[in-house]
Amino acid sequence: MTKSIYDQLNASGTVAKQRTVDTFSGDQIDFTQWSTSGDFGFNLANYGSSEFYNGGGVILKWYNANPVAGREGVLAYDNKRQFSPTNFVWIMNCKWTGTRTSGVSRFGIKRYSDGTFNGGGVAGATLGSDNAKISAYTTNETGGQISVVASTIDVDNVYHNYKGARSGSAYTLLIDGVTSVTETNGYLPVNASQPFLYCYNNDTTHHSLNCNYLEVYNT
Amino acid sequence: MAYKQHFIEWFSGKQLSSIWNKRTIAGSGTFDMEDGIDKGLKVKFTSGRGCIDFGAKRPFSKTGSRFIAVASMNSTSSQYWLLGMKYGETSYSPDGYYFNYMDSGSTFTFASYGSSSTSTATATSVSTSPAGTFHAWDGEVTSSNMLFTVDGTLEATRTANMPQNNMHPFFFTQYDSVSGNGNIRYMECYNT
Repeated sequence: MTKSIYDQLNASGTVAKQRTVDTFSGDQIDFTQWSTSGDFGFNLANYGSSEFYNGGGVILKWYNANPVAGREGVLAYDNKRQFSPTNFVWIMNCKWTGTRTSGVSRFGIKRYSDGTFNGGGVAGATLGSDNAKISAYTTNETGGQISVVASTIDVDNVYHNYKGARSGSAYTLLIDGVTSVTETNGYLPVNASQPFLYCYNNDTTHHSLNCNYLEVYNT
Repeated sequence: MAYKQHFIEWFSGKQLSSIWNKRTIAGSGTFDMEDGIDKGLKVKFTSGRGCIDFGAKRPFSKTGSRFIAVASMNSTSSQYWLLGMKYGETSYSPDGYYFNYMDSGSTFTFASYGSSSTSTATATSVSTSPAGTFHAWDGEVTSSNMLFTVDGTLEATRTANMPQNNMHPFFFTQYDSVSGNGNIRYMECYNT
């Protein structure tokens, strides 16, 4: 008998909570699902391209040959916030490309679909100029209360599997299923959230963020 | 074994995926992704009726298919609400097999309609009452019967009025004395 996906994901009798999955494959980003904000171009990477080696998925990068410092781009759900700030899991396969001075990329879940990080909760990860190590990145709803907690892994330019999870008071970032980082400053979101991918230019050199898998669900 | 048709929808993101047909049959309705935890898509008709479906594309078998959905009806009575598989396009009692609530009564029913006549579907009551809460709705048709399960409990088995045509999924609401109002956050359909 054919098994349902539902039966494989849920115990019998469970009323499943909200979930979203995107494999970022196809001709273009599904803009019925995703909203964009900011200045970055959003393109699907071409497998085999030297720029996106052995990768694919969605890429956030400046759209021409002349990046402008201080600009940013966000891919999110247009403030359709269906995910709990306290009981959630997000899973993303991401690759950051660039040098740390060129900019920063963050991803996970957040309150607002624009570039706001100074106010409005965030529970994610950060790669780039925030820290030399891959780090957990969280904020609470109050402006300026930002927590960056470093892992033991240097920021690099290869794909990693990232898993952010919160059940109650603790937020933990798991990298490649092994390295764990727990948020320790108590700066955590309190309001409903949506998935996001984000890039910010520190200078006029290129950096980018690839993602070839995204899943978020309430627990 | 060759893989058969299988469809899954999470009802998340900015708006409803364009693979769905947003069908306003009469009156005025909306099909909006709701900004709220676990809310999925809201289908609301302040007058008339409508649904989401696959248009006239019917990939699911009349003798071997299953649907699973997590959905709510957002009032306790006085509206119409249907969820499942159908052949037809505009009726509030379409040919197919589905859960429904028809204006009044203490519980939902599991209905099926396999005739080409204009008679209404026949139904078997299930124990679940409309109370604005989400449930896991599970319907299956085989060559000999139909099984109706709610939240993991088999509620009804029917053999009368088996579907006579292949089908597509749908989620329907209709205004009566209150708005037709329901949310859905998951749907999966496949041929068995």
